[in-house]
Amino acid sequence: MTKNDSLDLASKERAAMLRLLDRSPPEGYLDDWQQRLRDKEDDHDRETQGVLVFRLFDEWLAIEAKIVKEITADASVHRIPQRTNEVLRGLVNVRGELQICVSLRSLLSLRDTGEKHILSRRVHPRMIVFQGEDGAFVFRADEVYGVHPLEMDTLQDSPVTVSKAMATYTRGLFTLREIKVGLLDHELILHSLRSKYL
Amino acid sequence: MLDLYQQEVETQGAALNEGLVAWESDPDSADVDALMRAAHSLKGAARIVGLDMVGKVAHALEDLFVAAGKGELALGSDQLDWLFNAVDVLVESGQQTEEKMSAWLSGNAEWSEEVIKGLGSIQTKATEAPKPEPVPAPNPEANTPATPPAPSTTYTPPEQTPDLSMIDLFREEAKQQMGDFQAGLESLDPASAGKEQLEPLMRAAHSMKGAARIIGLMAAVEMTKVIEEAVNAAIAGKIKLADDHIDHFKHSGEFLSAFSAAPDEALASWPQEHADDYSSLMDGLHRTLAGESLATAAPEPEPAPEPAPPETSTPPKAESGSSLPPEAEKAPAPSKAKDRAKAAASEKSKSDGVVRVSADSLNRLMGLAAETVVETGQLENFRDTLLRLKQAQSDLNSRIDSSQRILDQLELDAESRVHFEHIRQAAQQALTLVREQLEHFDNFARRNTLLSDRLYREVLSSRMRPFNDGVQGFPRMVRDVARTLGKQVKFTIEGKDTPVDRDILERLEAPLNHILRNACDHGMEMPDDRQAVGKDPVGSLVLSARHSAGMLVVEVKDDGRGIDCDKLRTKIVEKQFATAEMCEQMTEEEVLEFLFLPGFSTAGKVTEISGRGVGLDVVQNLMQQIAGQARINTEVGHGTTFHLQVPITRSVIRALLADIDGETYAFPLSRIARTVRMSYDDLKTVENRQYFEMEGQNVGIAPARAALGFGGNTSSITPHLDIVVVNDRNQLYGVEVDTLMGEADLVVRPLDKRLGKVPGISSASLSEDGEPILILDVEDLIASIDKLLSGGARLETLRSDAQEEVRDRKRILVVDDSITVRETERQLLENAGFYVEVAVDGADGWNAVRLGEFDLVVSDIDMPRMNGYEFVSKIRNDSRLGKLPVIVVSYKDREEDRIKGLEAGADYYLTKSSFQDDTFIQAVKDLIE
Repeated sequence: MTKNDSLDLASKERAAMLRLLDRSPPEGYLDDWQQRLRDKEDDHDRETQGVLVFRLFDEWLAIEAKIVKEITADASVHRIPQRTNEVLRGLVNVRGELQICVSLRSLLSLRDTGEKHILSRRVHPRMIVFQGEDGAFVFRADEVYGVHPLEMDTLQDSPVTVSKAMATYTRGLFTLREIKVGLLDHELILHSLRSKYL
Repeated sequence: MLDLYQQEVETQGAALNEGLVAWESDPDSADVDALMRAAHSLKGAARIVGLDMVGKVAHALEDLFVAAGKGELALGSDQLDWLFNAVDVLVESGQQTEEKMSAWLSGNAEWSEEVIKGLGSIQTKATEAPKPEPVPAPNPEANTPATPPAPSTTYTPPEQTPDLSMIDLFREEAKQQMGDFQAGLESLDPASAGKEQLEPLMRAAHSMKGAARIIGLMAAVEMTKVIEEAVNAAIAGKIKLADDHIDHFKHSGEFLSAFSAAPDEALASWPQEHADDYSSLMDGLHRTLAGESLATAAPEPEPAPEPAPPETSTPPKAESGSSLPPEAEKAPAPSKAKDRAKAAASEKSKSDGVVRVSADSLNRLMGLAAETVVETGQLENFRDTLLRLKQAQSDLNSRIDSSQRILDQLELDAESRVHFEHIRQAAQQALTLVREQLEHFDNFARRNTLLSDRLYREVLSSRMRPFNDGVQGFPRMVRDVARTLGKQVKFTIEGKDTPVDRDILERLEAPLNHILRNACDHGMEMPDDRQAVGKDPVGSLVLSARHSAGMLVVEVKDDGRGIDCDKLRTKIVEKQFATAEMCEQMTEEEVLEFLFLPGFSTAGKVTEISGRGVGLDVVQNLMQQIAGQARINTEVGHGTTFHLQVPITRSVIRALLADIDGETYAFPLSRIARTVRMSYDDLKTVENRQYFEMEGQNVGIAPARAALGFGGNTSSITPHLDIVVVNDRNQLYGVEVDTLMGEADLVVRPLDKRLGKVPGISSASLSEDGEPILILDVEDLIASIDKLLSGGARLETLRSDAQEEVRDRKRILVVDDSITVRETERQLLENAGFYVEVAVDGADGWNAVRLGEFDLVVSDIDMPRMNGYEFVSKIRNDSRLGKLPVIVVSYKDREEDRIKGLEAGADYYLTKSSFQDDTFIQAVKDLIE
């Protein structure tokens, strides 16, 4: 091959390359990408919060996952003489440490109505340990669904139909697999436990 | 860095004290090199953390050791006093927290100078004359600062008549506010301080002012007012604060703290008694407010509440070394050294010499280790299952083997035979596999059980420390005491490595201190007296520790004059503890027991060394608390031995487990007299009280359920009663439980602090299978039983009636960050018949108001976390609370503050002066009645 030949070939390739790059984009291509990038941006703006979803009787509830220390198997609760009441249930062994066990059912004045939506394949009661300012509390849940990334702006106000206790302690409702879930106000719950039941 | 320095001082300081004590008793064998090295390291360490003054002392000490090492000087006890003083400076410097350091440095500069001079004089003396002489007292004039010029303006404290009804609350508040104030100052850099740094100061001063006004401490009101104004001026940028202003604020804060801590009866006249301090502080504050610099002002008077500031004309007191008249021949060092040593002993940090682990983390480790043991226990179950599996597999195999014979009789084609052969082989393989697994598992379980057991024991024993860690201060203490008394004592510690629970070790310190001082003071004779009776003039005092039969035995043995039991008998009769006839009957041991009674002291006179109001009863108290025993052996003329027997650890107790109302409780074995299982027929009843007879004594019975406050009767169908007989001060009580379950070793866990004291319960534990157990507080339980037996149980119903009544009253929430204001408002409102709850700031109030179903809210404006404006707007914007009446009560009385408060949604805006008349109550009634 001579030098000229190779030059010739190079210029041909270059022309082909330019043609390829200069061709107009297919129909709808630009719009599509613009839309995609715009959507991405929106996703960033949306504030999501990990919440732990669980069930008490027939009520599905959630608390912010950041205050949950751990979830363990169901354990027996030892009453504390003169202290145990409706809400403060007693002491429970969590990994070798004695923690204070409370009943969220009583705090939220929940009743067993018998009709429940079950989300898990096998239902196990669990102990949920959550951290307060000066120590942890444990409560028993009838079923734990898991952590759900909640988009905070999808949170709706609690309807007027819920009980007063529920209305006081929930920050709002969201929908998960067609079930209404109440997001609990853990600060108010901790405050209430500390000031009223300890 | 300071943390490291503290650790270094702790180690080297102990080495120095120990070395010097050894030197004094035997100069020839002293390890001067080690002392020199210790002083040298401390010098370096002090310089690294920037404590130049301390570095200088260490340097002087090091120089002296170098000279002594070369044999240039010999040191007697008088000279050593200076050395001990120097060590005290070093040790104390290591006990200051970062916040306290600067105050300590300025407070002790003079003392350090004196010590450096003292050390220097030893060295000069040594070079001038080979024979050392007593250290001359330092010239007081040299160090005392010239009398400061009087402040330019004199402020006289205002007259006041404090109202003491709420003084305790005020003290609490003053402590908190002044703490915040000092903390705020500490972190303040005047050059860059902005609004955020200054505002907490303003708030603290403001709250303090309000609180002081309620009590009527006008001097404090005046001072906080100027502070608040000055800080406000600084926030507004009207004045610039410099370091000297900040220092002045600190001193003012200290003045206020000292003032509020003064005893009730002294409060009224306190400002007058400290008029000079008050005047100069006020002068400085006013000048701060005026924007003047304080740098050229007179030096601050000592801020500490010392009754005699240096510039007064009070004659010099012996307690301050520098003001001793120069003609005093004896060095002032001993008395000073003693005070310091005492202070050091009480402040001695209880930290670990090796690593610092937080108690929380240790508890968690203990929990995890215990849980590991429980979990490993479950391996046993798994092994049983494996065993059953192996058994089943063996059965299967033998069935297959026996079917082989049946198959042999049948005519089978080759293919079927091969098929059955495969089945047989597969079954054989499965059996082998199961056997192997079982063996593996056995080994695994054994290793794990061993490991978790070891882990658990190791964690438990990590609470142990060598005995020496708790008694390091004693050689120096004994040396100082003996020297002050003019006695000669050789003190030895035996069994330094004996492991002792750190809790027990800490608690032993005070009683041992007491016993050792007693031994020096009363036990030891003067050297001449000892010689006269043919003893070595140097007395021997031995402190020893050893383990014996699962207990820790600590002994203090002296070879002094012993205790004369006949004299003691006379004393007992004199003090009317027993009659003469009874005394005659008592054995020597019984007579000696009287020494442990409160108010019984053999000291003829109260001296400073011992007999300071606390007797040997501190020893006895401790023994009761930790289930130990104390005994005295003595022989007249030959000495006395104190014999303390205490449990090695308090973290594991032996206990009796019992079922009470379906749950497990534990009785500490040390509190149980015996257990009884009796039939109902043996039960007797008198006036509705049940009792039974035991060894001729009637023992009252109370059901544990009732004593713990559980309703219902024992629901047992057994024909007998299980009773635990406990004793308390020789009185027996029967506690009826549902079932006795047996003994166990329990690892004691503290109850969650948030629960406070639970009646009848002392602590908690876990059973072998991980179930919670509560450990009973027997004394407390007996108290409730007593109440039950005397019919006090009806109290419960009375209380619920009272609660019923509360429900009808109007409910008011009081929100204020000042405890004094809060409680004043509460009292006013409760007196007017309202039910009151309180919250400590806006955020707390916001939580409370949503839960409480209140009829009215009373709120302050200036509060941390959420201020009153924000709080009120939040209420107004809430759909459920929007109509709740709110009264704002503030110190701010300007019209614009008023408008701001009302705009936020308050129904009334009152100032705190409204407490004086009935404006406040009237406003409340207007809104809700």
